[in-house]
Order: sequence, then structure tokens, then C-alpha cells
Amino acid sequence: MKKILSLALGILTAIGGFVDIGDLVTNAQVGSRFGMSLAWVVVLGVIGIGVFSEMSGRVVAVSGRPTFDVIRERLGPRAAMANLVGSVAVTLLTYIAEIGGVALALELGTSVYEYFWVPFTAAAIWFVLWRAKFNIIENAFGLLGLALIVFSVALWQLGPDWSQMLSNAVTADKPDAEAWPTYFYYAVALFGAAMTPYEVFFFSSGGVEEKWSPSFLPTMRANVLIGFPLGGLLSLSIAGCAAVTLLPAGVSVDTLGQVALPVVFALGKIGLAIAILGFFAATFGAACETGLAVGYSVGQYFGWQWGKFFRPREAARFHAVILVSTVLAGLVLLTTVDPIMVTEFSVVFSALALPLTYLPILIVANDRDYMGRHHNKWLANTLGSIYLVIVLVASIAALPLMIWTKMGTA
Amino acid sequence: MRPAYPAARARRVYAAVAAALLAVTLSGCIPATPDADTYRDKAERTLGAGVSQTTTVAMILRNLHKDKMFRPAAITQMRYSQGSLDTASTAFNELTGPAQLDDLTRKVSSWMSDAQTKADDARTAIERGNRGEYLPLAKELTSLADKMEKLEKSLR
Repeated sequence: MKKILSLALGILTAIGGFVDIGDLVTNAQVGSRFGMSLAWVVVLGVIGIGVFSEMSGRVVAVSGRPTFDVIRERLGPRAAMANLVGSVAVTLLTYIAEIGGVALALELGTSVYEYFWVPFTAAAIWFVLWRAKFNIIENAFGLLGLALIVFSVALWQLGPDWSQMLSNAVTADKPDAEAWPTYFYYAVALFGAAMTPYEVFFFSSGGVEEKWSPSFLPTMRANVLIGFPLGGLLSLSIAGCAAVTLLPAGVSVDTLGQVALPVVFALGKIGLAIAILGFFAATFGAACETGLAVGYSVGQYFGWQWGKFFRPREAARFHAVILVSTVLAGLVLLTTVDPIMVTEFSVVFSALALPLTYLPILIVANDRDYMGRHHNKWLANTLGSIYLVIVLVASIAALPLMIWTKMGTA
Repeated sequence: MRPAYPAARARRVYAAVAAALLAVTLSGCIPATPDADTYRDKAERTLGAGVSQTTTVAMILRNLHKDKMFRPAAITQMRYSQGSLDTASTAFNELTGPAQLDDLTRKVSSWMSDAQTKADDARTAIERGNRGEYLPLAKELTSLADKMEKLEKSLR
């Protein structure tokens, strides 16, 4: 019974924790401009993050060591340093976006300017990362993030023409008003949002925090193979809501308030309150994950004591990195930079940095010295190799498309 | 002529790159005078932003009228919509369009200005809780958005 409860909790938190500010904004933007014609990218991204999370989770369960630790040993300090710099830069950008997202959610609930909330949000996140236990951080915000199911309920309530939506999703055709480069720019952004590197760092390091062993593999796979696709359905619901209400009205999403508008139409005040709670939980949880991911990556590369399973005093440098990152993120946001714009940058740069994260995982998961009998089999290798090509294409295309389409505005 | 030392050559390259960057940066300060196609494209984008924000404000007013939305959330979105309208309008008005597109300039500038004024009125009505003004304002904004959308489509 305890095992079933633990499995259910893992799946629920995987669903609730799947969506972050990047998913919220990008899915709503895409839905409001392209309808469901980019749904295939969400499906592609969910399968991809599932494949690589399973690999990195397996590496942890078998070797007892997190991704960055193994990458450094397997690829050498120089290659791992390049990997570290790229990944931490992108994760830090995501961290800024998530803290900004929390401030925007609070602003939406109170109408007090987001800049007022930034210092309090940053301080609260730092305090949670300093004091709260790992499983509380993971479970509490993951469960609260389930509030975003309100988008699925809203979509149902809005009563769209399901066959037309499905046809739009399957044909993957763009609206006449949009250009193909813009379509592919958003495809790359959506893919980057679904496969954000920090998710893998957090997932694998979390495995060490929770002391996974090979016996945990079935539970880990259930979390990934059931929880992530259901989380992907939340992303599709957000896009679907925008496609049904905002696209026909000519509204393109620039703010969190516009993301919530379809829920207001469908469910009124209660729906809006639940949506705001979901925004808060999803972004706060993701901010904790990204903050930890920065600390994990740096701590693991330099071989410091790291993790929530040590007292802060015993992992002082790990906590110092988190503190500095949090202060930096807060300061960047206080320059009055638009958090939505930071989010847009973060998902595109995530796409750019994807190979840095996923290539080493594929290499390590194939290494029999580390993995023994749990090394990659043909299915994992086939999927991993296909995804590596997709990841490379997305990475190469990200910057040129961003410049060409003026960040999707052309 | 003696070949330059690598360090001196590198300095020259750095100086050239710095000068090029400075020139590119400063070129952003010069008011743009785009050709007709570019100007139409800018007008289309401005109208797109106008339609999006005007419709958003109208939606908020209708939802407030039906008591389906909290005022704080409405005020927050209103602020952003006003800001976006101001930004789009200012960016367009800073351009000097070709003479043959003066009619387009007048229409876009005037409608964007109307949208800004009506969005300001809407925010005032929401902050003062003047519920009677919500629906008439929403209707005016929708009709303005329709006009802008028609022109936007004709420019595609």
C-alpha cells in the first residue's frame, strides 16, 4: 500500500511539476497564434524529455551518482566545463524567468506591481531552498501545480469542435496570417520549453537526494512514462484554451493575464482563482527546481558537498551558489526587464543548449562500466539517437530563427 | 612595408569591431524612413498589436460586467494592455512613412490613439467601479478592433 501511495504521489507531482513559466507562456502564445497546429512539438518534447529523464534516472539509480558528476568523469574536466558553463547559463536564465513568473502570478492576484514582489519572492525561494526538506519542495509544489488542471476543465467547458481541433493538430498547418519561419521559431521554442535542461539536472540530482537504487527503477519509470505525458496534456490544454478563445478574436498572448483569460470565460472567478494558484505553484516549484539545479551542477562539477540531504553548514558552497544565483536573479528582474521576454529568451536558449545536456547522458547511459546490465538497450538507443538529431537541428536553428523572425514578431 | 606584429594586428581588429558595433548602435538612434513595403509591414504589425490589446480590454470589460473576473486581475491586465498600446503606437509614430501612404499613416495613428484613449477610460471605469460603463466601452472597443483588423488584413 505504501508503495502504491508513493507511486501515485510521484506521478501526481510529475504531472503538477511538469509545467513551468516557459510551458505556460509558450503554449498559450502558440495556441493563440497557431491553434493546435504545433501540438506535435509538445508530443515530440514530452517523449524526448521522457527518454532522457529515464536514462539519467537509470544512471543515478545504478551508479548512485548524478548526471554532472558522471559527465565530468567520463568526458574530462574541459569538456565538462564547457557543458557546465552553457547549462548553468541557461538554467540561470530560466531561474530568472521562474522568479519573474511567481512575481507576475502575485501581481495578477493582487494588482500590486510585480517589481514589488520580486525581492519577497526571491527571499522566499531562497528561504525554502535553505530550510525546507527536498521531498517537501518536490511534493508540495508538484501537488499544488495540479491546480493547472483547471485549463483542461476550462477547455472541456468551452466545448470546442474536437474533431476540428484534432484535425488542426494532425495536419500541422499554419494559419495564413503567419509565416513558416515564425512557425518553426515557435516549434523550436516549444521544444526548448518541453525539454529544458534543468529538468534533467533536477530529476537526476533528486534521485541522489532520495537515494534511488536499481530497485527504484520501476517507480522512476512510472513517474516518467505516466506523469510526464499527463503533464504534457496540461500543456496541450493551455494551448487548446488559447486556440479556442484567443485565436478567433485576434488576441496574441504577451502576458500571464491573457494566458488566464480563457479560464475566466469558461469558469469565471473560481476558475481564475485556481488558475492563479496554479501559476504560483508551478512557477514557485520550478524556481526552486532551477535554483537547486544551478547549485547541483556547480557543486557536482567541482566535487563539493551538495544537496539537501546535507545540513546547510556542511554544504556551504552549494548553498552559497544558490544564494548568489537568487540575488543575481532578483537584481536582473529589478532592472524592470519583462519576465515574459526573459521567458521567451530562456526557452530559445534552452533549445540552443540542449545537445550539451543530452549528448553526455546518452554516452554515459551506454557505458557498461557505469551501467553494467542496465546500460541502454536498442529501444533507448534508437530513441536517444533520433532525439539527438532532433536536438541538434533545434539547437542549430534556434538563434538564426530568433534573429530572422525578430523573436516571432515578424 | 613591414608586417604588423600579431598583437598590433589584433588591436586593429578589436578597434574595427568596436567601431562597427558603435556605428550599428548609433544607427538605432537615427529616425527610420522605411520604404513602402517595410512601412506597410510596420503598419500591419502595429495594427496587429492594436487589435490584440483592444480585444483583450473588451474581453475584460465583458467578463467584469458578468462578474466573472476579479478586479485586481483585470487592473493588472489593463496596465499591460495600455503599456503595449503605448509602445506600439509610439514605435509607429516615430517612423516617417512614404508620402503615398499618408492615408494609411493617418488611419493607423488615429485608431491607435483612439484605442489608447478608450483603454484609459476602461481602466478608470474599472478602478472606480463604474459598472454601467463596461458594456458600452466594450462595444466601442470591439468596433474599433474590427476596423483595425480589416485594415490589417488588407495589408497582408
